Formats: sequence, C-alpha cells, structure tokens
Amino acid sequence: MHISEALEIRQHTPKNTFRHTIRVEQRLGLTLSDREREAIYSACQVSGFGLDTYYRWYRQKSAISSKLAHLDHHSILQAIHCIDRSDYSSINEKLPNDRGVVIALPHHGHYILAAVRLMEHIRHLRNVHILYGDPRDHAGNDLFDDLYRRLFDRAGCRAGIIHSNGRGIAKALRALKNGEAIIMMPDVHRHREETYCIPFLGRPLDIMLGTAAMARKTGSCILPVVSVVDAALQATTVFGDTVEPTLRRAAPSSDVSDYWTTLDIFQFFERAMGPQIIYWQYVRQHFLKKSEFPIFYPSTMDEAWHMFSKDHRSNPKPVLTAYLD
Amino acid sequence: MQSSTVMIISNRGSMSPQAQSPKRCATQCDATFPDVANITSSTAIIVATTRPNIDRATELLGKGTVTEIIGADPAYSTMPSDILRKLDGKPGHRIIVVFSDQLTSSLDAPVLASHQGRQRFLSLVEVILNNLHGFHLLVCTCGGAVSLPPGSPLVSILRAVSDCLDASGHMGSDWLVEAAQVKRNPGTRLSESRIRQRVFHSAVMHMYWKHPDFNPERFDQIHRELKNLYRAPEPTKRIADAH
Repeated sequence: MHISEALEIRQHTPKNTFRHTIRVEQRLGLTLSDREREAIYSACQVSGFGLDTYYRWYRQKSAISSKLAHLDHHSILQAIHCIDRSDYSSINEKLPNDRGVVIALPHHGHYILAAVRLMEHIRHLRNVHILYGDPRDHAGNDLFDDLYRRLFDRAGCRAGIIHSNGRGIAKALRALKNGEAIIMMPDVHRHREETYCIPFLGRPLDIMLGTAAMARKTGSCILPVVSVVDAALQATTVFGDTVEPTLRRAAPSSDVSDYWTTLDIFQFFERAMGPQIIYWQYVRQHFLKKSEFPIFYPSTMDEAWHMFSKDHRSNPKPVLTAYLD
Repeated sequence: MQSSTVMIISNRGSMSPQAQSPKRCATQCDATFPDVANITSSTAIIVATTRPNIDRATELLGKGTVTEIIGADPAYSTMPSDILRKLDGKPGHRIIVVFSDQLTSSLDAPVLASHQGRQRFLSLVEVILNNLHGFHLLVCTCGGAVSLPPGSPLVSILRAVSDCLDASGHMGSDWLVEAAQVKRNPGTRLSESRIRQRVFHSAVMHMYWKHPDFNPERFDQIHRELKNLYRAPEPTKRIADAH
C-alpha cells in the first residue's frame, strides 16, 4: 500500500473491527486506552498490517530487551548479529574523510541493535560516540549505559557515550570538529515549547533542531539512518544520502537553515519508516494527534499572518492587569 | 504584530463611577444555587460547575426563568461573546447563569489578577454585564452568596469571582472543572502561546522551503517578528489607575 493511499484511511474505524483481546494486551503488559488502540490500529492500516503484527512486534521487543540484560559481551554481539544482518561496510563510502559526521538514527525498528552495530563498525574507522539523555532525567536510558559498559567500555575501543547535558553537548561539538562520528536520535524532545514542528505522515511532529545545528556549527555532514524490519521481524539498516547543512541556499538565519536541514532528514525518514510506521517507538503518540500541519502558500501568507497576529492566543500579554490585595 | 493594550487596575481604581462594596446577599441560596423566584432585576448568577448546578441551570433555562447560560461547554451553555452580542441594545429583565470557572481560555479570561502573591487569569464577562449592561451579580458559593449592584468597582467584581474559584477548590471531586483551572496560570498561558508561535513559525519556514520564490523581504519581516515574540514578555507597566 502506498503511503498516500494509506493516509486517506481515517482513524475512526469501528471498534468491533479490532481483533485484539484485552487478555493479549494484559499478557504483554501493554496498557492501552481505547483512543491509543485506535491510534495504533490507524498506524497499522498505514503500514498494511493488522493489530496482531503490532502485538507480535511488542512481544519481540520486550523479549530482546530482557535477553540483552543478561548476556555477556560476546553473546550480546552474537545475538545482535542474528537479528540485524545488515552489511555496514556500505557506510564507508558515505562517511567523509576530512570532517565529522552526525548519524541521525530515529527510534524505529531495532534502533538499539543498529546503534550497537554502527558503533562496532565505525570505531574501526574513527572515534564514534552516541549522544542521548542522561538516565537521571530520562527513564529507560540506563539500558544504553549498561550496554555500553558491557560492550565498549575498555581502553582503546574508540566508542563512547555522551549524555546530552551542557557538558555533553560541548564534548560532542569538540568531537565533531575533530572529525569524529556522533549518533543522535532526532525524533525526541523534552519540552514541547522549545520544539518546532514538521509535517510527518499527515500529522505535525514536534522536533528539536539540535541535530542540524550541531552539524552546521562543526561543518559536519548528516547521515540519516533507519532500522527497517521485515516480515520475520529481522532488521536491516538503510542509509540515506548525506545531508549538507552548510550547502543550503541562502537562508536568512541559522534556525531557518536548521529547520530546512531537519525537513530534509525527515523526508528520508518518512520514506523509510512510512510503510512500516508501527515499528516506531512514538507511533502511539503521533497517531493520537487529530490536527494537521498547517500548510501555507505564498498567496495566503499575508492573510495567515494577519489572523495569527490578531489572535489573543498568540500573545501571552494580558489585556488588563488587576491587583486585588 | 500590534501590541496589546495593557491597563493596570489597582485596588484604588474602578471602571465604575460608583464605588460600592459587595454585600452579603439577602437572596436565599439552595445549597450553592440561589432561589431565583424573588429576583426582580436583571441578574447574573455566578455558580460553580457541579452536576446539581448544571441540572438546575438547564432546568430553569427550559422553564424560561433563566434567559441564558454562559460557559465553555456547548452542550448546555453559550460563549460569553455570543451572549454579549445578543444583549447589545436590547433592554429587558434577564437572568443569566455564568459558569465563570469554565472561562479559562485566553479569549474568555484575559485579565491577569494578582492576589496574595498569586497570579491567575480571570474572565471579564461579569464586569461587562455589571458595568455596561446594568446586571446585578450574585456570586454563589457553599459559604453563601455575595451580591454586587450594577456599576460595582472592577476590583470588587474580580475579587468576588476569585473568591468563588477559591471556594470551589474545597469541593473536591464535585467540582467538575478543577483540572481546567491550570489554564489560568501565567506559566501555562505562556507555554501555550509559545507552542502556538512555534507551530506558526514552522509553517512559515516550511512554506518558504516549498516555495523559494516567496518574497525574501516579507519572509525576513515575519521571521523577525516571530523571533521577537519568543522573548520573555516584559513586565507590564503601571500606565494608569482607571477611574
């Protein structure tokens, strides 16, 4: 099914068509509201799958997570190679020799396994780091710390982790300036009011411009990468064309340039993830959205700006302030 | 973007020429809803959103005793702006029920009220009904009712509405719109407008990406104005005490 066709299928599917049972979800430890189940069902339709595929995927992810937690270094790598059999040598020609590279890897498919294999491959070519939220602020990220300790934490390994706090960002910028590689996950944010949004699979997606900004500031290129999953739930990592933040047409400011770069990155993500969007970690939240991204045209821009600037909701200043004490 | 008019009202100030204090009301209250049988002049009854109050208000609306219900739930109430439009230039005896606690959006609650170190946005429709349309206000809580005659000081009206919200906070789960009150917080209002600004800004940048032939000067101008909006709002200046 083409994405354009699938997007036309609306979310309001009669509940009696769901083939789920509460017992299946309970066995999986999956707690879904009716609205969330509808959202996932809608995403399944976009991908041409039934809800059963989602349940199967959820079960497999849980099984892999608990298995990885108990394996030693050698067994982890062996297990990962069984699921993700991609040929990572094809990345070599895409990596520039003379500058840094930001690898943009969304939370799709077996992205953790892809990250491990990327680090395992790239560390033989150059220093590579993965940047993610500090586990103290981001629940669940201790899994990455734990995997790192078991897989890469040894002298001369050339693979490291960086937590995305002030000090971590500075370290990542230095690494990129030194021509190293940084793996980042650009489909995540903490504070919505700091995000911009882009159209993604028919809905607005809130995104940060950090991936594009880091590449622009360091003269690095961006390599978009997606872990795609086949019918047997085996993973293959696909690579997009490199995006060059510095070669953009004259943008009036850096944030406009970063926004355009991010659009380029997510165009590749949409192509790779769209046909199998149920394997995206944020599929539930995304398909819960009922609104559409506002599309403006040059001919309607002035009218849109006029309406926006007259709207009370656009400006937080009160029309009246009263002291009642 | 045109800047909003900012007016500061202190306790000394009033929009009304007659400064009168709120009085304990002689009208009998049945729980938190007043007995409307003895009301002889145009009156706006301000009550909390509870199941019994909604049922009572809709019952009285059905009988024709209550003329309108103001609120944010279209199932049984009408937006303030629509009611005020209806009132313009039409004299008569009216009883309007106002669920002030439902009026939390930036459109319905544009007044930033500061009280005992706490700031929150309050509605203005009660002031307009009282000062411009000659309505008595009857603010009802479990603790009793407060009556405000037409032309009452703006600060008195806002304080009565504010006290009514505070009293409703003690009702627990009976108060059906407690969760919505967070929208009155300046922080929430600021965050919501930031999100709105960024969505619009994103749509503008997306348009220019799709249509590179768009007028670059015009894009620059809109882009700059949007960036200015992101800056934290300056503290409002005391420009006048309204009398």
